Amino acid sequence: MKILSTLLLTAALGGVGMGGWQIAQPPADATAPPTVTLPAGVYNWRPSGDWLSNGRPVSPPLIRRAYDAPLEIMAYHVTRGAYAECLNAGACPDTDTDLSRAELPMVGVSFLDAEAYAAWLSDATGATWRLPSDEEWQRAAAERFVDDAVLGGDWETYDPGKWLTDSYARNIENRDGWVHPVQPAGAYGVNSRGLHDLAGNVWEWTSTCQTAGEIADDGTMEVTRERCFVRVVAGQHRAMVLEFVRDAKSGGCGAGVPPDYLGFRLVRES
Amino acid sequence: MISRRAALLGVAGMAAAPLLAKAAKAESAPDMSMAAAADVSHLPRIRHELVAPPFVHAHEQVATGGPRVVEFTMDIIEKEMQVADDAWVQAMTFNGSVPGPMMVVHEGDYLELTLRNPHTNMLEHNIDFHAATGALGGGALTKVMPGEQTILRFKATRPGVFVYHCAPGGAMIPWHVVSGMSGAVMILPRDGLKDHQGNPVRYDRVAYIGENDFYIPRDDSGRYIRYPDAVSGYSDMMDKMNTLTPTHVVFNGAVGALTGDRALKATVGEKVLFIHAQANRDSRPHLIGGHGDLVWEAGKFNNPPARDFETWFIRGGSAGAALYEFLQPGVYAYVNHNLIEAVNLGATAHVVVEGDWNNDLMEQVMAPTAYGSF
Repeated sequence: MKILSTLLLTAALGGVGMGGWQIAQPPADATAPPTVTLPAGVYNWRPSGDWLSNGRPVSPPLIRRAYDAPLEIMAYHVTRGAYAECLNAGACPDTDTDLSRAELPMVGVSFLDAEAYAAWLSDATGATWRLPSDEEWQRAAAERFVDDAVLGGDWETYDPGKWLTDSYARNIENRDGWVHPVQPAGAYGVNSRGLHDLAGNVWEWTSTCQTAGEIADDGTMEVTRERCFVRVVAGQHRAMVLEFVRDAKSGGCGAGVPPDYLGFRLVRES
Repeated sequence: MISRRAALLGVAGMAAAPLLAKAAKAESAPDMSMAAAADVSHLPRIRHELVAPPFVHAHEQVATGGPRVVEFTMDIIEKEMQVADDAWVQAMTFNGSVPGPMMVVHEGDYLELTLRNPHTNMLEHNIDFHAATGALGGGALTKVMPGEQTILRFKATRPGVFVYHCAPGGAMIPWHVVSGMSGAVMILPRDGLKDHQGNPVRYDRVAYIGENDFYIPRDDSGRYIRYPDAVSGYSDMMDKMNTLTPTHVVFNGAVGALTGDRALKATVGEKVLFIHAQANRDSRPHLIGGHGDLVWEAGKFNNPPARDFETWFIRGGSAGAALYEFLQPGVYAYVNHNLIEAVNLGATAHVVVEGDWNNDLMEQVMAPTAYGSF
């Protein structure tokens, strides 16, 4: 896979114009989740992954992207009530999450659980639902995306101690140490695109695999290694989580601050 | 409240409680009627206000004068405390913190504690100083019912770090201790700490790490139970305690109490004295990415320190000390190196260290790249 940082990707135009996002009304059932449709347009994208330039660790560049296709994505996290429908249909695993409060975001789900839900919802609706990529999530999150590039992360300023302390400081920002209970949909507010509850205490699964790659002198970025056993979860910061993990709290490394809860929202293919 | 307390004491009502307390004291306290009172009236006195852990009140490392009487006052406070995101305990605390605050004196000083049990508490408490000699470490002389206070003075004869804890008798002892009632004292040699060759060493900071094991009962659906007061949870907790399997093993009273924006801080070149106290259960501190330069594993400063430890052992019911000079910046994890306890049960603290990286000590020669690419 090659990515040109200067390349403006194009795709087939969808039916939605440039007029702005739209939001549906809250649904009565899981098969009609409210979505927002992001118009085609430009946005910033910070790729995930570990990148080398001439063999030295660097932060990936912040890439300006222009996309001609709209993106339709759920306005809220998938709720427990919605997940329960999939569970009752025998299509989703029982995660031991307390499903008694249907309006709460579904949490305690693994990547595999989220994939099972997407497959069930696609069957149930006749549409194609899938997890967003990390890039799509950033596009939809807009100003709620927390840029987690390592500060001063090029070789000239690369200092393993500073890298550790800066990463630590970034990951504990706005977190008071406790993991608070999951909040009802809407509790963390809405972003400029109409998505609710981004970067609250529910992190969201994406379809993006853990990657490593190299950045050539001309800016060409090439993914050289990909490990899809591990996926990017997005939220207050990005984290790499094994696909079967439902609770990342005990899955962090010695000096990390792991995501509070794991949940998800889906994209509908047009 | 009255009825629960009365039931616990095995008496019919409030009025009988003071009588019972007196009877209990008469039973366990030694007969001191023939001993002459010690005359410490010629000694200077100093009073320290206690500081909540992981910090320690200001103190001299090398004593500048002769022995003195060092006064402290602690209130015992029973209150609910949060142990984890989803778990609370009806804690019994020395001075409102778990662990209780550290008291620092010098060898030859007299530590004089005023121990107060406010009437807002439900239970009888006392204090057993492992550093003290006689009367169950002072426990027999300090039993205070709610609404009572007492003063105990003991001579600091053995330099080292020592545990103190509540020990009111019988099953109350482990229950009070695993409800949070322990802390540590440090008795410094008058001329300060010495390295393995007898040369003086100083520390720039003290990190006072109190480790606690909690045994919090769950309900049928697996949720941790919250109790309206300590007594209500006694029976359930006792069952849980007898499994010897803690639900939480934490530093400074709670999961994450010393991580995130409450992480310990230091700078490269600073020497930090890590004091680790565990009143009930064995532990094995390890500083990930660092070492113990000088380790008083059993915590007693008349023994020369061992050097260069990777992990040291804290016997349950003791405190140990390890001096480390930070040589690299970054984030260090200070853990109980039973890693299940560290990661899953909570026994992790972080130290954020500022400074300049030393490539001589460690360098990333080749960042991770594709297998077989060189």
